[in-house]
Amino acid sequence: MGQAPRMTLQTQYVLRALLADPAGEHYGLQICAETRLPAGTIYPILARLERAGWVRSSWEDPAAHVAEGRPRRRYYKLTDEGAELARDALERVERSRVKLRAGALRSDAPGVSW
Amino acid sequence: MNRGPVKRDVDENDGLAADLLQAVRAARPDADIPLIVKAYLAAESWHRGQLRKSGDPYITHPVAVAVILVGMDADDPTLCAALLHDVLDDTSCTKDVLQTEFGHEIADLVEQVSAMNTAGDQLGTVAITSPAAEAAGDSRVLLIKIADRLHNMRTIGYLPAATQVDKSEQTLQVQVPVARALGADSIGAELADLASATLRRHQAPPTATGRMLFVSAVLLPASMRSRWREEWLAELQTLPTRRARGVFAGQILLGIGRMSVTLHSAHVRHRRRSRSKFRT
Repeated sequence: MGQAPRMTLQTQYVLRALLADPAGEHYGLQICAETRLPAGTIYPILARLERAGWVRSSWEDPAAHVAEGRPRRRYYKLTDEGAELARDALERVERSRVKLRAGALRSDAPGVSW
Repeated sequence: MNRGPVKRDVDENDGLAADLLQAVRAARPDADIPLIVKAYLAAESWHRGQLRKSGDPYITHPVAVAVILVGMDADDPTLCAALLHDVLDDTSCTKDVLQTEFGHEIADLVEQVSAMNTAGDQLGTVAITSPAAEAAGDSRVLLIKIADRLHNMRTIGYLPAATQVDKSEQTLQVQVPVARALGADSIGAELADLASATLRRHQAPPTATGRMLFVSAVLLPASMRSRWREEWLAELQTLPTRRARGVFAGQILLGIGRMSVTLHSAHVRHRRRSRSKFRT
């Protein structure tokens, strides 16, 4: 496993889209549609996730795309370990967000006195 | 180089031969296994020390060609000739030797396959459509050439880009129609597929948006360019409208800087790691 990717908001969206069907194969345009992120954003994220070993990519089987008369697609899939790490990372982000919100509501919290 | 076949049995650890024999047995229970083993051992011995561009031992190629032919219901002489198809061109083995060891039929097949190599690069259009080839009437020679090309196309990534383009164009013009004419439709489809994918990887596509994507990939590390080009052009091609294609290409272009940094930094880090390994 490489270095863990930074959990930017966009990275979280991409991971959620992949985790919605963890065993399934996803392709770029599909992830764009599901996350509503532009193509120029998701490909660098996918490249980083792949480098970290969370995601694996491979070319589509010839039988499928030849039948549909289009060029082969590159498919992305979470690795087993990647799916686990992604779930953990998303959970951690979620927890810190809840904590942040709770902190902001406290009147004596630093930074809100003014 | 004077290495004739010495061994008579397949080494038990020889996975390559084991895979081949397993495929043969599964497809044709009546196959002459000892003859095929003999052809394999001879080819392995003649090509020993030679490597494919991929770095694999050369023998992996004729074996792969033979396995493709097993899938096409080829007979024993064809399988043996496939195993031996490069020994006349690439080793010091002579036709006389083949004839003594394997008889006329196999020696003739191998010789005809070699003759096609010398008569204009592999299976030139002239060679197949010429009356001479038709008179020879041995479609088995063509089958071997088609299987040979299929394995070469499967491993074309190891060749220089210009050669990849030449071979792919030739494949579409010559080998694909020949494969179809021989009734090998699935082989023809795979050849067409590999050739057009290779051409897409190396040639700028004709539409303006396609060209834009193609050119922007220049910013990526050279070793990864072709993959991303192919991936993006494939996505582009499935978009229904010109507007959608324009938006997609524009977004990629906007993100190409970040993509470039991501991929290049992975590169550099990898290099640094391997360098520090050398130091310790």
